[in-house]
Amino acid sequence: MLKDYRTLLILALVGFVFFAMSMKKALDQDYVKYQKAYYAELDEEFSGAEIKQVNVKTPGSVMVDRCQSCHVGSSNPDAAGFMLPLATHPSITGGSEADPHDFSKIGCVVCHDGNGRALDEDDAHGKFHGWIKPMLVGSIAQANCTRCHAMESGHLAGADLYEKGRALFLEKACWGCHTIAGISSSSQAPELTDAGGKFNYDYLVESIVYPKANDENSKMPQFDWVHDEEAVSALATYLKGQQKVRLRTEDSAPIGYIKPMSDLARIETPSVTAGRALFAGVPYEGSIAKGGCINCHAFRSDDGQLVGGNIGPELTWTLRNRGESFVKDHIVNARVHTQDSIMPTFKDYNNAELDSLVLFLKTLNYKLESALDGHQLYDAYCISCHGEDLNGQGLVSAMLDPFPRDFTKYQFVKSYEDRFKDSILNGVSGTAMSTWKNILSEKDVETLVEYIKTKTLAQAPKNFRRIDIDLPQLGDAERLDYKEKGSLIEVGDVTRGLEAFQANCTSCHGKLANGKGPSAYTLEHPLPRNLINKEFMNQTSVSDERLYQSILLGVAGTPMPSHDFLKDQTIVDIIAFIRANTEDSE
Amino acid sequence: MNELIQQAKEFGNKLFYSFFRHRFDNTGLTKSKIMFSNVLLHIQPVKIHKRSVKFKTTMGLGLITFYLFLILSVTGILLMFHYVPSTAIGPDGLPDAYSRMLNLRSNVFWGGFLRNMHRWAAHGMVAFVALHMLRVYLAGAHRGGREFNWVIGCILGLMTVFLSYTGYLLPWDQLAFWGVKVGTEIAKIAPGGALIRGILLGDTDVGSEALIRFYVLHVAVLPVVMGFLIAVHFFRIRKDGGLARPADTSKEKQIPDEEFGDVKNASVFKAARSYKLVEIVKGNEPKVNEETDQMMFAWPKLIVRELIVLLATIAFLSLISVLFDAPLEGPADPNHPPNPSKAPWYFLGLQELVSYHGFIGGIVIPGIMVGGVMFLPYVELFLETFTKTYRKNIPGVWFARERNLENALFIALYLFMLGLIIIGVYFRGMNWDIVYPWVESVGGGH
Repeated sequence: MLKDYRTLLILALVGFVFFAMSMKKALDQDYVKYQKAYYAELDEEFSGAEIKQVNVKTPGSVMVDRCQSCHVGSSNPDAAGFMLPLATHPSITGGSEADPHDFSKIGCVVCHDGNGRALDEDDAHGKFHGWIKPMLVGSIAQANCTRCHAMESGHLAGADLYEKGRALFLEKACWGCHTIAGISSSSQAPELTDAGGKFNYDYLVESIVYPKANDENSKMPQFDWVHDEEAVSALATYLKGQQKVRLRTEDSAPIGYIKPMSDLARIETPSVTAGRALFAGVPYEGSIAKGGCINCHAFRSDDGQLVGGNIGPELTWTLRNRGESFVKDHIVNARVHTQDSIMPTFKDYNNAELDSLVLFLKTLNYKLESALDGHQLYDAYCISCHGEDLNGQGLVSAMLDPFPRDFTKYQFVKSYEDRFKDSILNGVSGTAMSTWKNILSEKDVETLVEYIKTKTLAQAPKNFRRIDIDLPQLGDAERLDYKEKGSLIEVGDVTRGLEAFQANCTSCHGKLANGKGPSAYTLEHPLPRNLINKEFMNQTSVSDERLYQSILLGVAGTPMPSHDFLKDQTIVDIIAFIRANTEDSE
Repeated sequence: MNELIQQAKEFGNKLFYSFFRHRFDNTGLTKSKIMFSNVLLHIQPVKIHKRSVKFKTTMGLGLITFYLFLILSVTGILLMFHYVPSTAIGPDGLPDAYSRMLNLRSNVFWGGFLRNMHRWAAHGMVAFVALHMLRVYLAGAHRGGREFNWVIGCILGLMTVFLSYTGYLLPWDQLAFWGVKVGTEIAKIAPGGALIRGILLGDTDVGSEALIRFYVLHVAVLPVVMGFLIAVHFFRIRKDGGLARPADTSKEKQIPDEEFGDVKNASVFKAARSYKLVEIVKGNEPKVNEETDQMMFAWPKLIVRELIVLLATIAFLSLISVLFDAPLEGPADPNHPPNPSKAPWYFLGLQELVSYHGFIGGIVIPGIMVGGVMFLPYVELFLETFTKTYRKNIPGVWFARERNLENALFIALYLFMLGLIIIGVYFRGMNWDIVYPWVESVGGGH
């Protein structure tokens, strides 16, 4: 019994200690400590800690701001050299004598976000999982300048990082795909008008640096400038500043609203310099830059130096290959030529701007020496897409759709080598493969084809041979006629073809026949063909016989399997269905 | 002067006896009076079996559960002073309910500690209900006329989970919203579940209506019903003659003679007016002049031991609450589900099952488990009656050899659920893929 009383006593004591600990935790908060230290450093009498709260009244909301309970010296110039939570806030506008921001009125959260009513450090700085507005530390707080100041254009003292980001948004051609109301209009990619309202800074940085971070299927290119931390930070700051909900309206903004200049200054007379400026995305004669081709496309200067991004195809030979009108159409809407291109539509360009770009592309005159062997030819013309190892994974291949051909599969090369010459000379419509007959002589092309064959066919078994099989003609006997009904091939029926397509093809080629079926995501290079790519499907080399062979025998060296279990009639129906999808409507 | 002292003494005595109706000496009469003249103590009988105060008999599990309920009631009422069950957007752009949570953490004195206490006690109560049930089963204490009390206990257990679940929504943060959302989505699978879900949520989705309904259930309906059922639960234990126990084997006297005071006729109640029929409980009736059963006075041993459990519970809970803060994430946002979205931990076993198959994992298996466990004593009774395998049930004995099969099955059931919960809490990451907690830590479930 005595033992029980002793246990009871000990537990009571222990419980009291823990109780006291909880009290201590509640009473002895950080701000008390900081305020003591602050007044000690100032040599002033400490008259007891208090929670210093600022209620920032804005139209429709009150922001509770208790930050200055710890950051007690933020607006006291005497506290300049103090340790961090106590020190004076550095000048915002920089240089100007009296800073117009009065922290005792606007608090800290207005610019820095975070959780203004909390008093615990991690809590206040928003460092807990899922907090909507993590703190913006240092210069990235400039993102919030636009909460009060309307400054779509023009200059605001102290907002240099934001302004740099604003310039970068145009220079890096972000505007080509992303809409920000008043700046750009495009439906290629998510709208960013409320980017800052929806996403936090870290998310924006992550999305710029690694676009696939949150969406595995994102088609946004990973630009090579994303390793420039300052540029990314500036851009993310600018995007963080894009918020629909603002604290001041245009009428009551401390600095007046200035209309974006991009609408005002346009290029009226075509010139090479204007084209170069557009291509590089830099301002030209007072216009706000609205270009930036160079972020995706590279070109070779006259001495062979390659400059530019590696997201789209190299443009050194493009104008010579494709011709003027093709290039112009392609800039306005790339999808008329290549259905799956991710290139933004530059439909806002006027004729003078298009002409300027063409004029600039015309200046790209780089030529190779005449006598070259296959290897040198390949390195010069093919490598950027088809890759060093001929595996179709060149520098710019990732964002091309369809992918460049993989020549490492001997099955493919052996089966289709007859097509190569024609494909190089005349290009492959509906893909990024352009015609080369204006640059390469027939002999060059033969050298190239020979180069590819010698590279790949060395490993091919001697007796590898593709079966040659003819397209069954109307009235031919059915190949699979087990019951010996004596069926004859009829004209392909689109409805039956649709049924057969849905039964056999959609897992890879997709319900829409666009090559994006559910299984396509697990396949590797090359991916299923987009069967509604009109430009591709309607070229002469894609004959019914080729389709028939590809379905029946499969496509050698690709994931397309053979379908010899299908009746000839079924295959003919499927071909009819595919053809019906890509008929020219005119 | 002396007279004055005398009068003061007399007044003091009267004052004393107006509060306490007994002395504090060591006689059996006083010990009995202490117990039955105090409303709080009289919940317990005057005399208890000596096993009842032994740690290994109950391990105090049921008592801890009850104390947690009391702690939850006290902290819950204190929290109610600060809480608003509203999703209306306040002046600073946050839902009212959520901004109250921020207030609790920052500027309500002791608020964070209260919330921690409430949170950890709630989780603890679910855990201790489960442990209590395991103890009762393994000790065979659910049989021998106590079958219905087991059913009531199971209902209490379910209500504990439901109380915890309704409380889970109230902070209105991401954790709360999506945890509850996952649970209510599981309910949809059940036949009629959509209707029950609709009644609970008052809407097609978790929203402001759901918050107010969950709030009323959490602070009023469920605690009241639960308090009543706890009373029934305790009452039935007393009417069943205290804790389940095997027959006495010892003849040792539990109450020494001197504790009977000066009364020579061995009657405990000589000086007090005795009712003819005090109470009827199960067990052997005491024989006149023979105090040979193993009963002892509840005062003070039982009360002290209960206080020890109470203090230990409070002390441990305080320590946990000082050391670990209750989770709070960003405000609830129906448009941005966290990946993975996890229900509270006690539902994660269920969520894990649902991830294999909605209907079988979400309804059939849990339905069989809950129903089976709840009516387990009757299932046993039924099988024993109809197969004529009357076995000797020894209530109150841990791991009785006769019950090895049942005990093994019951432990297997617990391990199964525990395994699922551990997988759900620690091994499920983004897209409900298997992750290893030592490689990548995952949140949610708490």
